[in-house]
Amino acid sequence: MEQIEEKIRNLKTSEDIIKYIKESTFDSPDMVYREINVLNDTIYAVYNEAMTDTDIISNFVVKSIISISDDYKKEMQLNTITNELDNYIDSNLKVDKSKINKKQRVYDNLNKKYQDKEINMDDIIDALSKKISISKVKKIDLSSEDIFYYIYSGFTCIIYNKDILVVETKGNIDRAISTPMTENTIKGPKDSFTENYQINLALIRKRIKSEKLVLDESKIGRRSKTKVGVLYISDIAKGELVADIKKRLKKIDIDAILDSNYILEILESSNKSAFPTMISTERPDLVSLYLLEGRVAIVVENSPLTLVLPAFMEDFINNMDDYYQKSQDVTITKIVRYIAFFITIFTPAVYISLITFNQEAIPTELLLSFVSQRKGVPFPAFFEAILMILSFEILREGDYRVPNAAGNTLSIVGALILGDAAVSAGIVSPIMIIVIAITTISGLMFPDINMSNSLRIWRLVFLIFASLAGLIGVGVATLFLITKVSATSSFTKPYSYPVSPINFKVLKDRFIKRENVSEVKYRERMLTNNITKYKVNRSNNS
Amino acid sequence: MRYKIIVIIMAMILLNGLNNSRELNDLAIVSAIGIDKVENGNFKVSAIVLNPEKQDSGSSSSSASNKMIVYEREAPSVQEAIRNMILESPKRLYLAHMELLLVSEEVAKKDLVNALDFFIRDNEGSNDFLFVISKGTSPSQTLQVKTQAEEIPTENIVKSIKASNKYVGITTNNLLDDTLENLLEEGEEVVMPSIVVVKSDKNEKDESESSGQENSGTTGGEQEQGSSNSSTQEDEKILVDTLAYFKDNEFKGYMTKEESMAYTILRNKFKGGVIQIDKEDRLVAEFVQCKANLTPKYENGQYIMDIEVKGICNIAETGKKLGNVDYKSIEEYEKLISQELYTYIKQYVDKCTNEYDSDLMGYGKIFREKLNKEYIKVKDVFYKEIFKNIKTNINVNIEFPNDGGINKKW
Repeated sequence: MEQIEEKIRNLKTSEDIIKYIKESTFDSPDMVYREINVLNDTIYAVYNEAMTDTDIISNFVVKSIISISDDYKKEMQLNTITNELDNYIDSNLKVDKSKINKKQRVYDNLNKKYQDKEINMDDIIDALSKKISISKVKKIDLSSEDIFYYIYSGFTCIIYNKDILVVETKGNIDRAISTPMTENTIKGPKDSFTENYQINLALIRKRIKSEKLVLDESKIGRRSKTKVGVLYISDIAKGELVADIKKRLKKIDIDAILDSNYILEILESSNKSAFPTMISTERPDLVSLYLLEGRVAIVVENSPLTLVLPAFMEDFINNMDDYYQKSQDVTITKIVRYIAFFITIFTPAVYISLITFNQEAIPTELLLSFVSQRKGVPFPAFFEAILMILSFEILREGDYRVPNAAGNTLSIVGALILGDAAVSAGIVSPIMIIVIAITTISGLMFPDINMSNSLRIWRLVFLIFASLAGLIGVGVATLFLITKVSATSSFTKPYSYPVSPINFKVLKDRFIKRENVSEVKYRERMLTNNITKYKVNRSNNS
Repeated sequence: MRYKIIVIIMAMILLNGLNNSRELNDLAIVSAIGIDKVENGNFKVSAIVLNPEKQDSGSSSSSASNKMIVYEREAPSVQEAIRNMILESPKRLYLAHMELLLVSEEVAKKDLVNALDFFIRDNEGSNDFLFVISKGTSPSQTLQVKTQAEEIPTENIVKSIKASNKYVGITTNNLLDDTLENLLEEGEEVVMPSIVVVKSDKNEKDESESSGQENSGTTGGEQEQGSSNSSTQEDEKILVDTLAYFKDNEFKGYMTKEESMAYTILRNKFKGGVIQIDKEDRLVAEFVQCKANLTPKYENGQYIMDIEVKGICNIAETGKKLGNVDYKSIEEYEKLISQELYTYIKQYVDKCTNEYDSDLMGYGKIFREKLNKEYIKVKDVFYKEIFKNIKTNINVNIEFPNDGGINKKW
């Protein structure tokens, strides 16, 4: 490190700097070193071809430099002319200057303008920074800032002597804003985050146009130097939470942040349960909603998923779509979702324990149907269940990865293998397919992949307990689950809130039915100290 | 440590280590058990094991004989007989789904407690089976009668007893717990529904043949009937009959229809039924609701039981005229039906106290619970001296809230 600093300190001329850059990049072919002659000197424009838009460079950067050099040229010529004129007048005409009013004024003006201005190329960089028609311009100091960060961020470095001016000439290498890929809504906004940090910020900013929405930005990753922005609303979010997050982010020492999940994992490292304690969403409207509740969002460059924290378990079960539908209708949806939550964890376990331990709990006719379906299946029910779960998981994972063109093949093969053929071959019983199918489908109701994955783990835990001790095992596993969820906290906030610690008001307003937007005037105390949303104005309540 | 735990768990899974785990394929689901007594005093136990067909076998022609297997064994105890069936059956007999316990009159007379004991103590057993007496025939025969509506006779019997209880009102659907309560409790007697096998009329010529089979079935000793194809009786029907009454846990006889109805009414187990008067005009009334209230009294050395019966009826048939019935005739009907029901109950109570000499009304229990002070004094001689002299006041009040129910416009 010190050697490098020493090296940088020794850089005196632009040639030195260019040499340094060339050496550092191992003379990478995608680096462009453009020399522009200004007067008798050379200005260098250095940029990375891949990251930049050459149109912008030629239209604005090079043109600006040339035009400024023209200015200098003109200035120089004018200077010479005026000087010569002066000399000429002085020497040849011998006229009293004060009497030649008209001419005098012109000359004076010219003189005033150029008198104290020696033709000095030293300030060309400053002049350029004022004149160049690109919005993001910055003069950097080599010893304190990393020039390569700018080069690889798509900036063009204009180097003259020791001065370096970086101007943003970023090429458009991001995809456009598209509809959400994983969190679909029927109604409601259809825009989603992209890989572009600025666009992501803009998507949130345009929803909360307030100076209170604070952005705290830092660059994380030794090599990736990824921008990570902490967003919060200053008068709603709890100060200690924000400070805590900032502190944790500052501590991160990692090679690269390739996705927001890196941040999520580092911040979540104390979470030993399978459940996610941070929301990662691609919906700006959802992030805005959470910000207004007093939560903190973390926008990560190059990641279409923004993190929100703290998160409660309930947040993963519910969906943004709820706010775009009639609140009464949402109640049914919510109940269905809670049922699905339990189905996806419990069904295989309960089925296994019913048919291997607690047959007396099944109505006789149903039992007969089970028996007739299991006739000829050679495996124990548990093994059968594991087999089916495994093949469903393989199918699901394959479906995620497969190119779209092969998707149809996959589904046909999957449907045939998992459906008819497996039954006809006597490997599994039809009822097992129903059980696993309803389980898997229920598990897919939750948009957060982390949540569905953790449910998958718990499903297996339940299955193992059920295969060991039947319904008693399921009871034990339930206790285990409850303990685990209650013991989990998301950034000091209890994960199982509002069920435990119980908050009847929130339960009443939010858990089963969605709160009516016009009725709720208060924010949740768990998340913010500033609970008054707005003052009730009785005269408006007509 | 972690490896040890994993190894243990894997072993438990693979070996299906914990006890009590059983695959469905390894269970022979018993749906009904019949207990009879043979000459040498052994129990003859027959069990109906359900044998469901694999569903995708295609043909729907699978008959009842394929769907059930009947095992029969004789042994000195019920437990032993059931255990010995495993010698024959490839699967373990699983009693938790038993729905029906059918005993012969013989067993009911002599050995009811012995026969029941096993089912009370068996920890795997079901406790919600119906406890029914097979009137006239041996249970093993009754259980093999081929029934029409349901493929398995058990289903048929259980369902028709439950339906009879609900809509005819001449039988109860006493489960094991109720029967036990009656067996064990002081001042109660056991009452059991009964079923009877009747021959179909149209195929009388086969009667001799089937009776021959019957004989071989009952006297065949340790006859094993793995596949009961041949022995399933053709052209016979199972009917739900009236209640059988017990005294001191011994089967005595059968009540009449009217008495059965009175029993269910007095026990508040009456859920619905039909009452019919065959005087000059026929009147059929259908009960919507009927409740009895029994209040014991002790006045001047006389034990009195007030029976208050309140009911709501609909007119089912009048036999006289179509159309709505006027107010006066409804009053008349109410009186008629009340009178009829009064006779039923009166006769029933009289018969119980005098002829049957069995406390089928549960007087003992009622006195013990509601008039405990007086009861304790005469506890020992209650049935000897007092029971016959209890004065019974019966008050029946039947209402007809509707005027015949004809409001259709056509």
